Amino acid sequence: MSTGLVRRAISRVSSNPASKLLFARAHASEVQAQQVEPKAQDNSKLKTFSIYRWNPDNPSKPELKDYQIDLKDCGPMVLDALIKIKNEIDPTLTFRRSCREGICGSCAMNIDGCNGLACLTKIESGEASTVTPLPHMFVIKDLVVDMTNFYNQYKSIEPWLKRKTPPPVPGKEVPQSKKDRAKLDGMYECILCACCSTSCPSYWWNPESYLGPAALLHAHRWISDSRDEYTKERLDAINDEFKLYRCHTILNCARACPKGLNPGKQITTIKQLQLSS
Amino acid sequence: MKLTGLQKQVLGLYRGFLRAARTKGSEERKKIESIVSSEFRRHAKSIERKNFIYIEYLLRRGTKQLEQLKNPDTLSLSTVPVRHHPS
Amino acid sequence: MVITGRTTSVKLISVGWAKNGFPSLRSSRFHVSCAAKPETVQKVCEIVRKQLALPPESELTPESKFSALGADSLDTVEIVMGLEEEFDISVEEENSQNITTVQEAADLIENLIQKKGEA
Repeated sequence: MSTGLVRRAISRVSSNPASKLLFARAHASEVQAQQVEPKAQDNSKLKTFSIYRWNPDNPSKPELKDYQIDLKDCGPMVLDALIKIKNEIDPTLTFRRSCREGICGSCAMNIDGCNGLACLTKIESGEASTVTPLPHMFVIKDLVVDMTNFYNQYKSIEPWLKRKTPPPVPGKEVPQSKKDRAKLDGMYECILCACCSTSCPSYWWNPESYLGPAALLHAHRWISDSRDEYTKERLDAINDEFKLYRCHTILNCARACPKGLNPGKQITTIKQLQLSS
Repeated sequence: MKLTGLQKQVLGLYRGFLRAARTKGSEERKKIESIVSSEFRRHAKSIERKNFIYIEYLLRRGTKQLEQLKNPDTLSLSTVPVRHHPS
Repeated sequence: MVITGRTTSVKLISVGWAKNGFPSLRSSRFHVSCAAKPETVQKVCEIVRKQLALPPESELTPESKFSALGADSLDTVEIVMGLEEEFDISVEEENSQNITTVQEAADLIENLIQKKGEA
């Protein structure tokens, strides 16, 4: 039965790209599938991944290490390749990952020079790819970077609902109209992966004093919230030469965002609000 | 002896740990001081002076650990021996 | 009379500190006007002995350099921390790194105690 499934899958490989995935899955899950491996190797597609390696317990300089894998035997995303390398070639390779569907933001890294989530970035068809940690971040090990400063900046904008008056019905939630809720679109989706902030040259030069696109987008998310009653205080808190005005609308942030958001646009709106408040 | 900026940072971190230890119970304080002291001395011996990448890494890690130790809810400090497998 | 004289000269010196950094501490004027009391020097010696675990018969003079007694920079930090507790003072980071002898430590301590009294 299972070989039949595999054969059907193979016959479709050349025609439909979607069935490649089916083939890979069937292959990985079926024991008998190993019998057909020699055949699969005939049209194997090798690709080299150069991956940044640095281990603090082995104090030497960081290096790019090459791993060659067969794309025919691998999922379509860069994260699939990393997991395959960790499982089959080098278990010491260290990276963060969790949801593998672009909702947790764990696997943010720099792939072929662009920041993105490994789980949402397709493996390019070329012969080689380079995977490095998020740029200008302190490395803890391999592709894992220190997010402390980034999270502290997020914390500094007080990302929670702040009220001066009790809710309309005591002990209940504060209602919001559909129209007011819609104002949060383009901001609430942010998963704090840090792709935007670490792609921003301004953030590279002032990582501590400039809040960066991610934190500012969240600042605007709370400034725009109809239920929040600290709008003025929030605006005052970030009305600062460094915290806010180091943004020079370079817009690398919008290019990098794996969720298709535009932090630069939100920052511009904050600047406009500063003028009118 | 003139100290480099990095050396000053290391000594500052050491002082920070000893200061934080003062805020804990006397029994714990001795334990913390002994762990911290042996940790700094072990690294001072084993790390090559010019391995800046590693020293800076340890500084950041130490700073984070110090933040945790400073928390009043943190009562003590302990270590777990780790065997290193040469890779 | 002595005390007032000392106070004024210390005030003058402290202006110099900000400009020239710590070395002015070693100027002869400061040294003369602000030589630490013998009991302070004695106390500092005790702490240094304890901290460095020096045998009782070993020689320790106010001019002894900590490094010559076998202290590394971490020991020096520990000595300064020990002094802070003993004299109930707080030594600033940049000053503590300039203390290399018992005499320097004793001078700085007296200076700090005096400042605390003024405040």
